[in-house]
Amino acid sequence: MQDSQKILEVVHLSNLYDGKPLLQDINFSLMKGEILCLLGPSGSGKTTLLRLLAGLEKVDAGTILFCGRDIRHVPPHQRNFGMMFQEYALFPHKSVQQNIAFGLEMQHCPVAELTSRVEAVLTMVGLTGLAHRNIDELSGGERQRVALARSLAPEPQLLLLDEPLGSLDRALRDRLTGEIRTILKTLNVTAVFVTHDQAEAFSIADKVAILHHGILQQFETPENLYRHPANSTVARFLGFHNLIAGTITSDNMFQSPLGALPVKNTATDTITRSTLLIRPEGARLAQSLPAPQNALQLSGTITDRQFQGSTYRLNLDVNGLALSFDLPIDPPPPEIGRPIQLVLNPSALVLLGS
Amino acid sequence: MQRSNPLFRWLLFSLPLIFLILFYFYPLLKIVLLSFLPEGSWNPARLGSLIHSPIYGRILWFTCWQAAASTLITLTLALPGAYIFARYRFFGKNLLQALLTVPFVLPTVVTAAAFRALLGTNGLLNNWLMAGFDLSRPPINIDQTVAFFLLAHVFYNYTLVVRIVGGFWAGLNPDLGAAAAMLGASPRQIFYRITLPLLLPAIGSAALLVFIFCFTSFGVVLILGGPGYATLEVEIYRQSVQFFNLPMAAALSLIQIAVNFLLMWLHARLSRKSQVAFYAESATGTAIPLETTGQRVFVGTNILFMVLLLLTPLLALLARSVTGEDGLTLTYYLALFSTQARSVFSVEPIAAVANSVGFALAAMSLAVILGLLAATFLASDRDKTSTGSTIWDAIIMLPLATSAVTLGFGYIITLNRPPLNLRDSLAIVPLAHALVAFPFVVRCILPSLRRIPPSLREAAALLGASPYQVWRRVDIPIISRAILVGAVFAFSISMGEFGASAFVTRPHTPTMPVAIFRFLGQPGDLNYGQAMAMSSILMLVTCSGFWLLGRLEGRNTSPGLLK
Amino acid sequence: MNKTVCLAGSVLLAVGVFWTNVLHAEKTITVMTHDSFNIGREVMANFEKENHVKVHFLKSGDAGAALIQAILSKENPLADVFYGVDNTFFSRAVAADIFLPYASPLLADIPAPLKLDKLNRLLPVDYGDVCLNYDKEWFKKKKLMPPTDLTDLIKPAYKGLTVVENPANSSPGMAFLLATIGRFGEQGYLDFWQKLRDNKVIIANGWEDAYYGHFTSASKGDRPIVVSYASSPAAVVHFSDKPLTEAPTAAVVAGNTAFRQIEFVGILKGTREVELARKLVDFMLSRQFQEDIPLQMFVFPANATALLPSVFSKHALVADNPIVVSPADIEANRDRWIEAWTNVVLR
Repeated sequence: MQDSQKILEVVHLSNLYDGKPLLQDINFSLMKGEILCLLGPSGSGKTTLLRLLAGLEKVDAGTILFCGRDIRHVPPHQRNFGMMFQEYALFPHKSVQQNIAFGLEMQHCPVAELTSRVEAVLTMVGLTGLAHRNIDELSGGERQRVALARSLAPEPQLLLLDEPLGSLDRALRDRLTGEIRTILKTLNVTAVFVTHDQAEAFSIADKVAILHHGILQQFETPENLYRHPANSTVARFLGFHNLIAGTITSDNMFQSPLGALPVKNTATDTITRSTLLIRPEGARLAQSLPAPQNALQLSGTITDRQFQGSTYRLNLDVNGLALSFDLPIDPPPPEIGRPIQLVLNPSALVLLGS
Repeated sequence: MQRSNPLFRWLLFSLPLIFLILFYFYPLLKIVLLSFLPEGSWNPARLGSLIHSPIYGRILWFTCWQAAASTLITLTLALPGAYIFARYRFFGKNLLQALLTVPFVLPTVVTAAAFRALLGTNGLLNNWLMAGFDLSRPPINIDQTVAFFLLAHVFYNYTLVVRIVGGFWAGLNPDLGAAAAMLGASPRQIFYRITLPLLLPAIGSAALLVFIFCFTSFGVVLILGGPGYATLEVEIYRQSVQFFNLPMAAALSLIQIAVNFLLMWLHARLSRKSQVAFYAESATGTAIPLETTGQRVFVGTNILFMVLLLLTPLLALLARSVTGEDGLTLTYYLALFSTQARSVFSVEPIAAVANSVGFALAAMSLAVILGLLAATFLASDRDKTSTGSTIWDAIIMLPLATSAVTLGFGYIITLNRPPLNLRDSLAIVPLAHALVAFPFVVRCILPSLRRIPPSLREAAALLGASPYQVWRRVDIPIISRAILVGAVFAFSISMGEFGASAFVTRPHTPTMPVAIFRFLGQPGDLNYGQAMAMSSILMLVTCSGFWLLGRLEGRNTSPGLLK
Repeated sequence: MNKTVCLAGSVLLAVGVFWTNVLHAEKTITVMTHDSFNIGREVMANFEKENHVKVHFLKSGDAGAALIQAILSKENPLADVFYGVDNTFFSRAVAADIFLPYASPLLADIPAPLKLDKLNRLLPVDYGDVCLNYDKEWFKKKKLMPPTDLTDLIKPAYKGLTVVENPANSSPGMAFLLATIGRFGEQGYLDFWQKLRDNKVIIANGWEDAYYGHFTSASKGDRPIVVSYASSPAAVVHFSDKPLTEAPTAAVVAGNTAFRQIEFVGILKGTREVELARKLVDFMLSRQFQEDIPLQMFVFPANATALLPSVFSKHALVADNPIVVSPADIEANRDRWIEAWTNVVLR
């Protein structure tokens, strides 16, 4: 990838509120057409980061480069960025048509073109025929689409979305997530999307940035993120439970109550304390397949068993540690209280940084 | 409430309606009839000059343009003030807001004294300028000019705009402005295309009140503008009291009412059409501390302006109350507390304060209850095309636009028999004050009540709240700020005793303004000094009252509405 | 919850205020009067004690407004006694036929010129002379002769020195207009006012505004001559911050410069307490009440036997030969005179 394709660069960005740091030393960059998800629990600083990109908050330290240009001192209305707000912030005194046309009017778009563009985005978001409705006559999903249409109509260079699906129900969310990605990809819009929902982030994003306490924990593609969470904070946030504290010995073995497990270790040959993640889908019933040589095995007792459709979720007690795994429904695992033996896939074992 | 039951609505309105009929329509109708038909027959002889003389046309024209000019100037100057109170947190905000409301309660004569002490030919500013630039004549000569009473109208009404518009503004979602900015709107465009249209209901309310207040202006125009300028209200007084020409006074009163009714009706129509429901966050969630230099300069300039225009006259008064012939003295305050006992009408300052505050609290409670009921009635009619509520909206405002002389005389001839023999009862004072204050409360509350989206009430109803609970738990918390603003004005109207009470015959109950007038009625340094001291006490009491209310306002934001 | 408590508290207070008013049931007599009325507490207490009665005062605006309210309520009067009709409103009051005649024995002590009503419906209580007051210090400093006559006011040397009250809104203003009418006649008064206007007179709205707003001696004003009362210098001494031996202001009381205002009391028709009302009127004309008048209202008692307080005998003056305009003339021409005056002076 060449530097010329980098559209957004955030360098050593920090922000303070009442003297307390909200964001500390954030660094990342984004290519044209990529969709970035800012993922993190509430209070992690993700909305602040978004508002900094928008120019709605003051940068205390660091730089934001857009197309190689420092935009810290460009006021928001001159950036030609689009933004979708959490509660949509639709103008209550304007109709659907007037809301969507607002950005175009600001660009002094000729009337004829304006009308056809509004018509086009309305069709794109599936709201044909609602142009003259008042905002208070719309349902939640319709408002969300109007907000999206409004932010897309002026063809922004960068689209910022602040938890745009936060207040919608699950089914509608899932559908709209897909639709938004399709629309953004069709238009080849670069976008930054804030959410606290991991599934939403994975299904929409090209890159995911995990924020925690104002610090950027990891910046990765969704797949790499899932496969290799950088640390236990990220792992916990992604919903992983099997985090085991232990030490690594010089022979690349991870010593813990589970016994000694072989791990790939790039570190030196000194004994270090570390955390091991075992991803829940990386286990199979031992008797269901012939155990290969050097197979990693675990024995424990089943403390809970939930049928979840495509998988069983099993909670085990292994030498006093509580672990949980997702197993295929065939063959069915033993009942609660029975002993069980599992074979682990080596790729499901991830040694986490501190 | 979601499908508002007509019977329920009228039940709500019955109390304000009965109040209006008893204390407004009945006395007004009777005095007008008595004036026009003195012996039961119509005698137009004394009305002749109304048509033949061009004077009345000129008076009406003057009254209208000075009210319009005052309103325009006040709005222009006060909107930036409303903005900084709505959007920023800064040191002393509460106190400043309390101080800004003080002019509202000052008797005209006292205001005039304060302005002259500052800007008069022998005033501070002229003395400084003459000394500083070695001038032989005072450079500022605005006594008895249009500029002087326009300035005083701004002085009186600034707080009205700041409070009503500022309160509403604080409830605007700041994301709307941010959204417009992201769509390419400059701060200027945001103001004109987003903020201003959304503020219109509140600006309209405030402007209407300012206009009516200036339209019926009596003392301010007379004293500061000089006798060359006369409003309709002044002419009504002259016709009835000096010339005993009641038919003419009644005719002028009706003209005054008609002009204002037209205006109020237009306003009611427009504000119903422009009403938009939008979810608003509470004020404390959106006020931000000052960050950039630009913000500091903007807020600083505005505060400086407020201090110069509104606070220096007050300070001049305060200074005058502690300055005797030989410099600083507490003589006047001591005199207030000591040499009082001789007259039947003299009063201990404490008693005057207690009387004023007592009446003001009673008038405020009554006005807030009536105003809340009436506003709920008006807001619950969500059919934007119906004319019924529009008319009622305008009717509710009428007491404010009615000549105090005429109405006072109406009281004399109507409230004269049991059970309403109130002419010489103490109750007449808070009742008369409440009649004038209640339209203020309605105007303060209505814009906020109308912007509550119906969905909020529907949600509450679906969660099992009865109509009363919806009102108590949803409507009231959301409009609590507006209610407080209304209460502040009801309280001030009563404390300053403007309008109605001046002509209502009353048993002797010395309030602070009454005491001030008593001192100003006789010559002598001690009298003038005591009047200034009493005015300062009035300022102090009012200011601390509002300061307390302001603290209540700060605390009273319901957490459910916070982000 | 705090708010509810506040609200409940204030409602209770309001109810309390009403209640105290409802509860008193002693025998009462009510006096309707204008806002400037004032009398000593002890004096009234003596009357109340002697007659086992409570006296209420109803203040009803300025003299004109109070009278109109008394006239409007004649079917069902608000009070038993009305105090404060002056000679400028005398004819209107008499024409309205709202007073009962009462020939008080104390009328004998009152000089004849004050007794305007042959039928004794209105009995004189006090009088005061409306005249020019000036700031002694100012004239001394400027080495200018203080005015001695109305005609001085239109001399070039006195340009921009005078403030008077608007006769349409103020009773001393009306009295001063009448003084000029009495002095210069219907033919000449407008000419005088035209010259006064050319000499940059200020027309203030009322006495308070003229005196405390423009008069050099009482405020930051710039006018050393004001229309006030001949007794005003006495009030200035009495209400001074510190003891004064000489008044800083003086009144012009030379012949044909002042207008005498006489204030009357009358018993309102329809009173249920005629006997008490008569006693009260007698009391108001008696020495005890009369001797209290000067320092309460700064006018002179009508009763010739009343002794004046020393500050009055030293500093208050009585006009030598006050200008007289008959009440009937005043009532007949008031509108016209004020209208003509307004046209010349204000428009």
